[in-house]
Amino acid sequence: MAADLELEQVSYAYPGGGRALAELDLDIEAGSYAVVFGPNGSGKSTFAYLPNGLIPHVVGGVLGGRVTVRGRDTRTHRPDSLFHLAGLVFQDPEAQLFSSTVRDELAFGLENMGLAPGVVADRIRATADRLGIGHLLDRSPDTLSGGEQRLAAIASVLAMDPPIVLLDEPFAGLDWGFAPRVASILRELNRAGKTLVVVEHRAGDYLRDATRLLVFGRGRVDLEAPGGRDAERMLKACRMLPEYAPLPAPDAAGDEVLAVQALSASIEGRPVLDRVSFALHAGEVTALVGENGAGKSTLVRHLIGLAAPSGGSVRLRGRGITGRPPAELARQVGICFQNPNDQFFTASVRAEIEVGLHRRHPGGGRGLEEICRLFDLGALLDRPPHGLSAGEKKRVAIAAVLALNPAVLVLDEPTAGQDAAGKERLAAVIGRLSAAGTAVLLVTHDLEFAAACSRRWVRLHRGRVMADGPPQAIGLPLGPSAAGGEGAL
Amino acid sequence: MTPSASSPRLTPATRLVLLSVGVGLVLAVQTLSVLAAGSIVVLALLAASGPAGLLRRLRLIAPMTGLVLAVGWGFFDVETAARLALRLFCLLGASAACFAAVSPEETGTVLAALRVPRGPAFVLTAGLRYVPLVRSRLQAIRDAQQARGIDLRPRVRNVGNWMALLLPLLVQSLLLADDLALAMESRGFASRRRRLRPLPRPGARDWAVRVAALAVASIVLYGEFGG
Repeated sequence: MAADLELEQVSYAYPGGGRALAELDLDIEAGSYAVVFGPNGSGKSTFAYLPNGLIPHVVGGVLGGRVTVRGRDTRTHRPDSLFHLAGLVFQDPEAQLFSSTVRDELAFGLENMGLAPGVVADRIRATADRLGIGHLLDRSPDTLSGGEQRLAAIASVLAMDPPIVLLDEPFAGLDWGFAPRVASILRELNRAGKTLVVVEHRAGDYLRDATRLLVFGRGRVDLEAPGGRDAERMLKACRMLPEYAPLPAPDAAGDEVLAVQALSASIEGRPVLDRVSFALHAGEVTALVGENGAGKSTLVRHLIGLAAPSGGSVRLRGRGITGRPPAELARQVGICFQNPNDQFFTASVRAEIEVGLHRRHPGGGRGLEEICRLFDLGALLDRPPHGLSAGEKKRVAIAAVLALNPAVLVLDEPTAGQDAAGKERLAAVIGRLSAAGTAVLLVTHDLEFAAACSRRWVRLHRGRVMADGPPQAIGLPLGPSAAGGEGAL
Repeated sequence: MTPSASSPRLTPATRLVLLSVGVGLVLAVQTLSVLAAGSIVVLALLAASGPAGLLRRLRLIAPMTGLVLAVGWGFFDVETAARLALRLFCLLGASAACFAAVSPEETGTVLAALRVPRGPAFVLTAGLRYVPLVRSRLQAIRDAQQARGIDLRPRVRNVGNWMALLLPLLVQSLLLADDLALAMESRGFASRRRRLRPLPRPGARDWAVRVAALAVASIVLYGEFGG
């Protein structure tokens, strides 16, 4: 079979950075479905930027070797002559969606292809129907849930009908409803003859549809195997999927630290939370799970008064939080949001952690040394936070919040962008914090991670608490590789 | 996607014509009473989006206007300060009202139809796309910093803490600009084959509004310079 994509002895270094790819040789055959795994920093995303010429023409850097897309050399062909051949769905849909409406988003590539307005309209309608997003066409992308944004991002590429489609972590952040939809879309695309390259960290049923499995390491292909039923076993064997330690025997729950009582909230007149109630106890890890758009992030913002409820209350050690400034409440309820880059503003990891140490209530708490030991940050203390890997950044961000010595630690999507080793390390840290008496609230779509850390799940569904109890009683699709790519249990 | 000729809304081109006329007048006029009248018109335009929209926009515009008034009063006289402040209010308010009703895509199409060179047109449309993205990042950064104990409420004692907001915002803005460039290039932004959607044809209402705007502008300019 002819190769759609050929890489010969490709090496690449980012501008002012180290080498990301090293003598990479790879052919992707037309009509194949390749899945690329690898630890953070192994060059997976860099590889995805090659076929449509973003590297080197937009990103810059030094590219060696040759990348050929359907016979076109990317050194001499710029993105404007490759984009209709190799479509790229970015890792973060928010970074990909920039238009005022989903319809404009889909029209952008089509107009750049020079298609007539009538053809553009037909293609938009056909793509929206295929992905089931017709009802979203006139919505602004920033009003969509994470899953809807992901579908819109995929649609914006598929509308151009490129023969090669590269998707960078298409299952990241998707719930058990959206992940099978994306898996099914990819399956249908491949059956229709598209060449697919999926870069992922997560396992799932989609691996059974893949024809080829590639494992990257230090900028080259370390391992190659056929896809299908054995792919997941293969990934486990080469430590590309996390293997968590079993949960310790449960202790009696500690004192109630934080209670959410009949909390209701609206955003621009639209109800988002409806009489939500639950409590967090010292030393207990609770997982807050729910579909994309269920209201999890809104709920988190209410825990320290970053948003005002329309009804109900949040009580911290029996006292309402109304009227208390968020920065003061953060000394008792630390929240680490999804994007570590939102936090960093100092020149070193040490200074980031010291921000919290200087602001906490006097008398007790972990010192710099203990925090560094807990998060294995000793070797990173004098490095600038922005220069760290995704896994390291996440550890620093949590450490900086924990420096305040909060009684409650809230982690919003802590496994986003983390590789297997990073997830295992995070799970171990959460276990240690729990053992030390911290109440931990995990907000996550990663059900496997939730199961590895927590015996109690609170399921939020359309703004209401649908269930609160052990994972088996929550009513989610448990079982091997459930949900087509997310949250295998 | 875009209003048709029979749509009750004005076409994007008409809205941009109105904005251009308004900006030209505000920059040309010196008379305080005319600027005050212009401010009332702008306030009415902002109020058309409802009380929530009016408050949201005033929250951004009013502090800047107040700052210019205070600084102007300190350095010049009260009349000059008022003139500067009203002019700024009119410019910001008219731009906010106009761009709330015209999407970046529509603006780009109008600029292309007016044969504005692609470079400046891109800077304007990319900027319009960039603003809401930066606003959402600003919210995320504010939340993240307050959640780690940094007080960012508008108090004099917190001024030193604002670095925790500004530095990540600077970094994120640069990253966003990179992301935006990558996202646009990856879908053929630089393509020479680009074919823009047809502009909606102006209807009778559009022409009436354009003529009325030019008539008002002529009267004001005559009063200002010719009377």
